[in-house]
Amino acid sequence: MIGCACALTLTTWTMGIDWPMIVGGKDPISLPNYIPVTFEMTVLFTAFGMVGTFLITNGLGPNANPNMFDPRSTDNKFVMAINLSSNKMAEADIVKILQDTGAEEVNIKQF
Amino acid sequence: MHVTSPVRPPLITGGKTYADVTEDICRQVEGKPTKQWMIAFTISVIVLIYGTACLFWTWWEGLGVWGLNKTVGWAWDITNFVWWVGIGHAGTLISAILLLFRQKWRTSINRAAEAMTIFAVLCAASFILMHMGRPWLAYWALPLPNAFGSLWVNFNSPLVWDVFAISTYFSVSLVFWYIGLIPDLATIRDRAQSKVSRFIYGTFAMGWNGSAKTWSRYEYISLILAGLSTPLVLSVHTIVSMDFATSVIPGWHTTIFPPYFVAGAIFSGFAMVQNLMLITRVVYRLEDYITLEHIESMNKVITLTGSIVGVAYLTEFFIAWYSGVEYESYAFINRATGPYWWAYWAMMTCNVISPQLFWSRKLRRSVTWTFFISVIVNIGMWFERFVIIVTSLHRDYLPSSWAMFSPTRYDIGDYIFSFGLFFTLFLLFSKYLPVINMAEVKAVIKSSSEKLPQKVSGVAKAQRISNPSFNKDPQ
Amino acid sequence: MKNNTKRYWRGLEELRNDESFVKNADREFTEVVPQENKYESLVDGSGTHRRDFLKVLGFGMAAVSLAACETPVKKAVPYLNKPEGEYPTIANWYASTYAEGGDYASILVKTREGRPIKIEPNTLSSVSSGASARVHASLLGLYDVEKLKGPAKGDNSKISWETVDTEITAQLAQIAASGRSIRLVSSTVLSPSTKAAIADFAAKYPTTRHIMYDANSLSALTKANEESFGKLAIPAYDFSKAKVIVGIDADFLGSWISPEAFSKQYAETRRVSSAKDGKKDMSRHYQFESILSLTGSNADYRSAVKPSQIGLVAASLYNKVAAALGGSSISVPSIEAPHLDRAAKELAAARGQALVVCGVNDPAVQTVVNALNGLLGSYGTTIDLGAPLYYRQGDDLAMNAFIDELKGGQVGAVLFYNANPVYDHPRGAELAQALPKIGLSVSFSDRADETASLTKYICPAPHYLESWNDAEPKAGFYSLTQPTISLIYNTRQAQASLLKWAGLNEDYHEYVKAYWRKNMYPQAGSGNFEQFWIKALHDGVFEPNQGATSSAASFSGNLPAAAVSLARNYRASASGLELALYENVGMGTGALANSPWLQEFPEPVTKACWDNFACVSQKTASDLGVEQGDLVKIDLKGKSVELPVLIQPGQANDTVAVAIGYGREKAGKSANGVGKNVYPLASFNGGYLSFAPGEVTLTKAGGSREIAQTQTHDTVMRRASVLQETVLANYQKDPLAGRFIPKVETSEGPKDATDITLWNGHEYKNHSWGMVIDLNSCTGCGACVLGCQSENNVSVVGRQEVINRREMHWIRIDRYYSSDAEADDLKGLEKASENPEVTFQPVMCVHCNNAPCETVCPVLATTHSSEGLNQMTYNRCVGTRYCANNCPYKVRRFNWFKYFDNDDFDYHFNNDLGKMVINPEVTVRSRGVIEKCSMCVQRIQEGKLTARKERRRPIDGEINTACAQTCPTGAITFGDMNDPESAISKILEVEREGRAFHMLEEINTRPQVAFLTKVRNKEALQEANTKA
Repeated sequence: MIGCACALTLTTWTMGIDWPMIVGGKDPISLPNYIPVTFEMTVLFTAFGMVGTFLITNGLGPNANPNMFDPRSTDNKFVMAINLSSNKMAEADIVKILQDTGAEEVNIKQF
Repeated sequence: MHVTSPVRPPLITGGKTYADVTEDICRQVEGKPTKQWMIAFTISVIVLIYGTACLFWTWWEGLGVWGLNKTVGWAWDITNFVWWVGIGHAGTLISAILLLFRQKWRTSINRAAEAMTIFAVLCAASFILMHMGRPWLAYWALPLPNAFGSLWVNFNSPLVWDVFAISTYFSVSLVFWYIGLIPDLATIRDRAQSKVSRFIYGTFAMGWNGSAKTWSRYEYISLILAGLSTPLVLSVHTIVSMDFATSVIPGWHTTIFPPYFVAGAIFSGFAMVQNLMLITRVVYRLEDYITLEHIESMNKVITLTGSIVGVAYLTEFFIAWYSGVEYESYAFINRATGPYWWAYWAMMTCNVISPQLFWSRKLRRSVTWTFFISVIVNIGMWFERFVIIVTSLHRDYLPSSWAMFSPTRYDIGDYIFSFGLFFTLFLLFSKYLPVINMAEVKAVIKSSSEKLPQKVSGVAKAQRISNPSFNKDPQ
Repeated sequence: MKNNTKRYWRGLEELRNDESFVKNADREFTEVVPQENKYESLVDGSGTHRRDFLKVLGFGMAAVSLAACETPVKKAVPYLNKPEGEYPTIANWYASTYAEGGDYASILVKTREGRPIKIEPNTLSSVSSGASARVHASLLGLYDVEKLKGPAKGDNSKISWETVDTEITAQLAQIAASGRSIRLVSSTVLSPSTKAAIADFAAKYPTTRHIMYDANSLSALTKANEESFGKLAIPAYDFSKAKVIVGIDADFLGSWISPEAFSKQYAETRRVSSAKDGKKDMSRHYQFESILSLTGSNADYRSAVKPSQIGLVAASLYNKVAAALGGSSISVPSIEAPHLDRAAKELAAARGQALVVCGVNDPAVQTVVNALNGLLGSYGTTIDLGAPLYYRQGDDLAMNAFIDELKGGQVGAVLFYNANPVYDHPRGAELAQALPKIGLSVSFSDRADETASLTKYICPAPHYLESWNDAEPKAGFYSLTQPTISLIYNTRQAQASLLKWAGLNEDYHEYVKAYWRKNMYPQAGSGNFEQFWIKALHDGVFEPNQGATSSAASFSGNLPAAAVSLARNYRASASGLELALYENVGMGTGALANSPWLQEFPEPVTKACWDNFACVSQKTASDLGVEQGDLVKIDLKGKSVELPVLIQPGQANDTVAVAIGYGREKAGKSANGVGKNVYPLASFNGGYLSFAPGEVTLTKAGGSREIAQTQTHDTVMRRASVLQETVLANYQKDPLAGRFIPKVETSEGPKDATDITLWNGHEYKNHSWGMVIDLNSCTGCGACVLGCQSENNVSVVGRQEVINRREMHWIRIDRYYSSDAEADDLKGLEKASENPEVTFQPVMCVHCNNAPCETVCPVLATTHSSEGLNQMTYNRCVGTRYCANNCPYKVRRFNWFKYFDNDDFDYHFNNDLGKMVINPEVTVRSRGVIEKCSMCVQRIQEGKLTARKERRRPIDGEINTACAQTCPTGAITFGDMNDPESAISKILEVEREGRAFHMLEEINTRPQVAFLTKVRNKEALQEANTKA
């Protein structure tokens, strides 16, 4: 929406108001000709807006601290993190449950 | 061969595990360059250097070194531009449209295809710069009030639309590609031995931690980007086609151009993907990831789009005759029978007839044939643009201005430059980045793989990736 | 008034006295302003106040030159004291005269800051009309760096004028004393003062004889007139009075005698008007010729005959007319040529309003033609022997005798003035052999050309724009040449040299003035001499004989003798391949070959430049098995020349035609080696120069050479909305005949294509500049092309770039041949007819109101003005060429290279002296930008500013484009379409429902440039004119 509005404002203002020139006998503000630019601007703004949002919400950025549980999780391992402090079960119980259900490795890490 | 699904054969063969996937693909990134890669890279760089020399002379001396003239103002430059843009369609199309359509077979090829898109668009952009009489002033085509006062660009001009379309497409594709790369970059980062590569990959991995929440958001953003890219892909070539369709030149001024160009773009893009993937597959021994199924699927798309293009050609002819416009009908008769008849029939043979061979399952599944026909299709699509541009321009309205075009060594050299650029970039990509999207491929590996411990709930994760509505707590 | 004259006197007096002049310049300047007005009243008094921009006479130039133009001119020197009459950025015009080798044009020279930058026609002259391509191109000769910088003796160019004078005078005296002959060889000298100077020289050295010859000789015509009427002269022809015109190998619109003036007269007979009571009849023009000349291209009926038949065509025509009008017939073999009977019938019917002209340099043929014109009563109506033309005074017999004499060793001294016979005389080789043996040989050539390089001394004469001179192109019609810049090099006028050697005062300016005082002033009738002189200089012309009635003459030639000669020299049918040499419209005799503008000027019919070639018809080419571009060897009695083939429709079969004027060897870098010299192939027939030397053999020489043509497609492919033409009979019935009015089918029925649009359009409230081009008046001569090139600093790109189809001319003349094929036979339509109808169509930017180019420019480098002009902003252009592609008229030109500063394009534009020709009002375009016709927007702006300063609107005619201005026939009308009183508005008012059309109307570009349909005076044709 912002992109769309920006594009329309830009096109009409520059072509029609700021310095109107006669181009190919067309009206100074010839909306049909502005459709492609408007569309592209809309898409661009949306895409960048979404990606920006994604990066911000995930706290991603160049060289951001990965804050990883285990580096192997990006390869072929899955990590399940359980917050001990907010969990009613005892630490040992949790470890046992996990090992029973087939966990390959259980680590307790302090973050 | 493991027939693990009653419905579909597996997309990845060779009984690969997640670890295998990581290993197979990261090996290329982490290891020393192979001999084949070195040879290919050397050739590419030599080609690039020769092309750069030609390009340098073109810029130094002026566009007169090309074979253009007062009548044919565009020829190889814009032919190459449209051709590269067309090729650049496959990547994002594969990623976006096939993602939306839940076509999982795309996972093996989308990374390379997207990279190809980006490099192809770069090549295309280089022709935009190249074809300008004064390329050092190219920024004037951007909507900037420049130093000469409040002078803006002409929003009525399809070239300005092009600037917007191509730059938007490029940025969005780049972002899409990059977002897709992040999990894999993180994998490489975490496997990296040396500090340097750890730092570099780490920088680009942007602190990806692979947590469920991140994955979930990642799924969303992928889908949204895919949703945005789809109309974008279609719009780019639509707008490129408007360069021609909005003009008054007979043979250009037709409303059929947008869909016809888009189909043609997908057609040539897939052919180029085929070419690249077939080579990569052999060089990097990725036969298990890029299987005959992939090849066959793409061949089907090629046949379909080839047929669309064929119909478009015939429609153009019909309309030219049916409209009764003298210039229009002459333009088409001249294409087929005029001095450039050979280009027209090269285009017809390569684009319409050759893909029809893929109706044969045998040919469709033959690597050699696929490669061969893909090359033919790319040649044909190049001729299509050449036919549209040159044969329309060289004989337009006033017979007094009719002229012929013949390329010079600089036309050819500058085209060679774009090949050098493209392959150099692609080889660098294939060396330093994972050519296959590991994260997504892992998602399509079937759970029945023997080596996988039965108890591991890896399948569930794979489902998450392809199922964005997944939103339940881990147990 | 007294002050006024005094002032100009002073300027003149001090031409050579720079010190005191500069001292006084400041004081004089303070007097200038009030005097200018006074001067105007002087001009008004004689009713010649026609150019109100011409406010300053041609005297200030002395000061300008002194201040700005040292030798050689490099940088502009700031004025210490501003020269009189010279204002920075304001152009001055000086009336002058171009007279070279028998060509004549009365001109205005436009100067800026002391530099002549443009030549324009002088409308005060009633003899010359427009300015031909050659006249425009002659300007470049002024800034030619390859000219001699001073006198030379052999290879010694350090010699001074004093030494040269002493040595030559001594030798001349000795030769004269010993009684050996002195010969002054020149081309036609139009100047009475020069002739007087030569006479003075001859008086001092009595063995002197002046021999004139012309490379394009009309010696036989003058000879025949002497025999027929007792007048050794070319009569004045008046085409404007003719109803039926027959041309027999006479390219009177292209190269014969005075083509521009004839074009003007001819065009008057071709003009029609669609007004209710408008003129709806035209002259009818028949042409019988071997090559397809520019004149033949304009003919209504044209027949191709071989050179060996051409004499019999004249004779047969005479016999047929004689049969009708009761003259005595002559016995010659009868010949059948198409349209001959019809031509004879119509000539006879138009008795008194008929004219037959013949360009064959054979006294027998000319005698027959004289008899024919006599029968037709042309003398006293369309031909005037009372006021002969002096354009060609060469005597072939005398020149031949001279060469024999020279070879015989009887000549003691020879002087060459405006002549280069080693190059342009068929016996040049003999001359070249004999010349070094002559004791004293002097050339006044500006460079060491083919002849001058063989002479002992070269005493270079300055360019005519640096010289004083006069001319008498027609009896009783005089004009003056005045310098517009001081001498660039250390040169001296030939006349001054002659006077000096004759021991007289060498001031040729004084000499001319004295001559005028003695000979012309008495004809003026009233006023004092100073006033007369100033007025003559201001006007450039003095025409006491204007308005004299033409005199009749009765034929008294020897027809039977002519018939005998005809029967001997011509055959009714001959099978061999014959050679026909012809004069190219642009290049002429080749004297100006070192002008790149002229080299790149596309010959009007072939559209080829930078070469000469062997023209053959398609049939002959097939018979001989050659194709366009094949190199062939033409053998003529032991002499041979190798040339590429050009297929020329309309040329007589079994004839090979080659242009003279090419193959220069010592003219300069633009001319040397361009084409081949075919003068040696010309022959003599009874002592008269013949361009039809007889039968040749043509063999393939192997290899090929591409010919640089600006147009390679010959036919219009029956595109009715491009070229609209009709025949007179149809036009008389319906002014819309031949028009193509596109209609578009809509749901509301058919509509005009221009009524359908998405946009609201724009109104031009103030001015609306436009042009109307009358295809009927346009002869296709191409003068406009060079006029535009000169005005707008259009680059020359060279032969290879023309082959690459990258010529930069802003205006081009499209030439279309008709085709015999059916409308749906597209392949067939590409082929021209055997004997095609030819149509010329000048095309420049048509300034579309709905301009396709404007829409597509990404950076708004081309936009529309509020006065209807399509404007190009060079410094905003990034060079995508999209506009050029999208231009339906293909008028946009791209700067492929940096033409003005690239060694590959060494065409005078990349040295400091050559750059002086650049018009400072027009940007020199950089590499990588698009350029195109601006409708001379700089002139429009200047005109508007002038008008604004005087608080008025521009008057129609005050502003004119370079092309319209230079057109000899006035085919181009430029003006403000918003001004109801303007000429263009009046034409459009009449023709809007008549002949006016826009090219490609159906694509609704709404151009500001309209064309008027071409009307041929032919019998009604049914099928060709039923287009709707």
